Amino acid sequence: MGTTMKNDQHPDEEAIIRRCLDGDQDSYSVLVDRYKTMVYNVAFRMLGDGDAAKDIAQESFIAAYGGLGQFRFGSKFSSWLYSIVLNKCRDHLRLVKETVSTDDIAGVRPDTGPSPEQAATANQGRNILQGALNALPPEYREVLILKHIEELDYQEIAAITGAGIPALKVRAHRGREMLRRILERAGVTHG
Amino acid sequence: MDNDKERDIIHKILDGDVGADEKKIISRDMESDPGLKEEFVGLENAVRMLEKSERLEAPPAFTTEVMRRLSRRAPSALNRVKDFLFGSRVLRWNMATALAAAIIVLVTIVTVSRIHREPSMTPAMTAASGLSESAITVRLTFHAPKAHSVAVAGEFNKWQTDADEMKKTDGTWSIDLKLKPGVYTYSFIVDGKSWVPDPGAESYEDDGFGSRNAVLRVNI
Repeated sequence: MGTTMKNDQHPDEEAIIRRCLDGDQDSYSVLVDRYKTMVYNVAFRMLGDGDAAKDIAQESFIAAYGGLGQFRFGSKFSSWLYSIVLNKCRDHLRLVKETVSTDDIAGVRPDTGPSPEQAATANQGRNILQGALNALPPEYREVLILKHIEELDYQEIAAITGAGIPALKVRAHRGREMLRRILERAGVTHG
Repeated sequence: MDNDKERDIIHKILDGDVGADEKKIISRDMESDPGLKEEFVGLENAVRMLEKSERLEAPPAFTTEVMRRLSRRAPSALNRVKDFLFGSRVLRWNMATALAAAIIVLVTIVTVSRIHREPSMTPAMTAASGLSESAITVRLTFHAPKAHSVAVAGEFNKWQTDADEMKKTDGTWSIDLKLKPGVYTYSFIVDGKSWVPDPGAESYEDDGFGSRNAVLRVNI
């Protein structure tokens, strides 16, 4: 993984949220800056599309700001953001009724990053992985993203998704099996 | 691989919550089963690709755009009402605020209890507050040493001649009446038959039958 992000609660977060609740909107930019990579990456991995990911990530931050009054102090702000962005992604996927064939997995490319020449080699693996993720049912996809990309434990994933840990493990199990088969079919035999 | 137990162990390894004993079992089984090993390697590869996947930077000006969209987005009236009614509030306090609040509560309690305990001091205040007027004890006296009985009748007792008998002390008859503030006409009834207006009254009023009644003004 390029950059590891462990989303431990920052000590100043409660104070920032309280300032926002008091009407200090500018303080919110600190939280947006802090979590934009996390939220954008989850949205991108869920949707496989840079433009949609950007929109959904921004909408997630706006929704989070509007709902700060409902934020439970003592819980992790990052977990709350995860649940918001995942809900937004589910809604989006339901709307577009995304159907990606496993044969198309090499054709998906994010709209950010280096030029096509530079990306020719490096992007191939990324695109194949993203295409494979897109081919998974969203409920499998989100568990794999949270577990293996965001490196969360099952307890936190359960808190974010509202699903039980045994159900999450079954989804991860099936998701990994599907992912393995898709990658092998695409000729990827090593990571 | 047909063995579900071995598959479960492989996924436990990938979840990072497998015990040492199970690791030994799966290592031994993989040595003897190339298909099992192949599946494990394939799964491990998939997980490694996820773990090593590039973390993309958020698009440029992401934060600025969010903040711009936020400032443009005025909450609807309905949302403002909902937030006012159901939004969580954080109560912050300090000792000065707490003391001030305690003083206000104390003063309110004392004031309310005094209002309930003490009658109003003027009719106007009583009417304004809506509280019932308090009765005042008024003593009527009548000097008639030769009389055998004296009673008082008036508006306050609906002119009943036997309702308020007066008591005699040293030739003077007296009675204490509890009356609310107001103006009353009255008369003494001597020995049950003679109506005599109070000679000590402040004023008198024609009774409509050719005689007079005494007028009593009860003030606080």
